[in-house]
Amino acid sequence: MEIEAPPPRRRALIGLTPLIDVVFILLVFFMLASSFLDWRLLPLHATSGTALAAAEQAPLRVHVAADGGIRLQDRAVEPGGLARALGARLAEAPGRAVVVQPEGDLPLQRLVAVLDQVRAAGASQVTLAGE
Amino acid sequence: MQLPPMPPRRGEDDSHLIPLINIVFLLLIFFMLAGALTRPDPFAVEPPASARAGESPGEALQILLNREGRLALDGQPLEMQALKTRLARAVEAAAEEGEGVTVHLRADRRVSSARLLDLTRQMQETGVERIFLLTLKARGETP
Repeated sequence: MEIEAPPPRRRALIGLTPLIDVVFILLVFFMLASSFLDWRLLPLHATSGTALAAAEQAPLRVHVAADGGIRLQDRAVEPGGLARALGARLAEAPGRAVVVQPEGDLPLQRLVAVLDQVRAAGASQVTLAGE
Repeated sequence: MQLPPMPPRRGEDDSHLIPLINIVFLLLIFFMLAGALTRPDPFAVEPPASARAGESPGEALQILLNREGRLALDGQPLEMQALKTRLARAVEAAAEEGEGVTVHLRADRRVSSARLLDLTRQMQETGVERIFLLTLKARGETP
């Protein structure tokens, strides 16, 4: 009896299947472990009331009530109009400091919205102060 | 004796898998380059949204402040006193190299302003030079 020898198989040097396994695992790892959040930076600076009084030029005061009501220099401003009102004041005296005084219960999100408007008005020196 | 029929032979090699591998490799490289690896947070913090763009964050100490007022420094929960001593040590170490300490603060959007102000002031007292609040880019309107 004669047994036919099987034809010689061309063998790949490295099996591709284990490679794919490893690459898939790496892919899943990087998909789960990486974050795509777009972080922004908002500079924070806090002062106390006494330091404010010592400044030579009185800063513009922006008071934010806990319900979101905004007062600029003790005059009420509609919520969306702060950037314009403050911009007009800053146009008279560029570089004037702005102090944002949030009420204690104000949620941070609302404070950030106000700070956004203050920055939009072009204020260069923005500080936070308690009441 | 009858042997069961031979199973049909697969293709000569795995060459039909190469397009798949190409795609998976591309995805892998995309996620490696585009995503930033971050360590998981010890507790959930919902950052506030901000419409104005700031510069992109660099390297800094990262402080977490969640809704209940819990604090964490670089992924490690701690109390206010411990945080202050750690910050003071960092300020000392940076001062020897003539640099200032930068802190990135990730506070929850519902945290009260009084708490944030208190924390900011206490960090400034320890000698931290720059404090940045991390916000996310607002999508459309801010609530």
